[in-house]
Amino acid sequence: MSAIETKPFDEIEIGDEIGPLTYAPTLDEIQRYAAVVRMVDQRFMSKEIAQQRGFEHPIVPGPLSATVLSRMLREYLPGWRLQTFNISFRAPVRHGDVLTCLGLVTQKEESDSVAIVHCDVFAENQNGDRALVGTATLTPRSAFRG
Amino acid sequence: MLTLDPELLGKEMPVGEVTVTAEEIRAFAEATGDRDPLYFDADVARQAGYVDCIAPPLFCMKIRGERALPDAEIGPGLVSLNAGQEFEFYDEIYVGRTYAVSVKITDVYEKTGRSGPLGVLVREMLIRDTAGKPVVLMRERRMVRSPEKKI
Repeated sequence: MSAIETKPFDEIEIGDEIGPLTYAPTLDEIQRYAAVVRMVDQRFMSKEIAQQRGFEHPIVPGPLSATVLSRMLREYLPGWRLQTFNISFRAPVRHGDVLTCLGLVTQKEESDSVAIVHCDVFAENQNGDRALVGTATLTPRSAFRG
Repeated sequence: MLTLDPELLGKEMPVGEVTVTAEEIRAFAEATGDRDPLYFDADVARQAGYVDCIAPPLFCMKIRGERALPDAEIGPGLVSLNAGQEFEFYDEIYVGRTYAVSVKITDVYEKTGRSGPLGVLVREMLIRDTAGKPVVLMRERRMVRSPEKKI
């Protein structure tokens, strides 16, 4: 028996809103992520190096922001997990930006007896600019246990 | 804008193996603020039907970051950007298991965007289990352009 409750498929509706989840990464958090994933490019940490590389400000690594969208989906759909996840980085996220992550259920289906939920996701900064936009499909975790 | 050895295009290249540890999963989950107990607590993972703790989906970015990947040569003075990533997840990444990693450059092209000419490189990283079964496919688009317009 699963100790983690799975959100029932029939309780998920097209048009359901996901989030918001607010995220404002600190320099410490960016450095910690960079260390864990062995991201050696200092343009993400140093203003001087960022400017040498053509950036006005150091920016937040896109994949770090993407993890927040992934987490938002997991928290909205307990017991489900990503099957596909496509993210476009539309605008840089600068240090000090506050991201608001949101999503929307766009489709639900059953394929070969596996439930699939389709979502749009995005993260916008404090000015309303969409920095990340993407799509995701999720299935119940039971479909993944190998 | 991008110069690629033609022999690299479409050629799948092994770039090593990785054995995933509990400490690595914990460090990644903590660094990304994801507190799902499936990543930390083996008892919870087993109660949920897994054989052991699993990794967050984007843990594959750590696997990617740990290795030098084949790349194109970028023209002098150009700015390189991460334009986007696509992931296909076929199975979980489990603590204690070993995975083989391979990389393939699938496309290199130029186009004109709002900020002028752009070079784009598309690269795939495939993580397979020891049986050769795909676990995660990650496709990333790197973009290079002139630094004239500051970002």
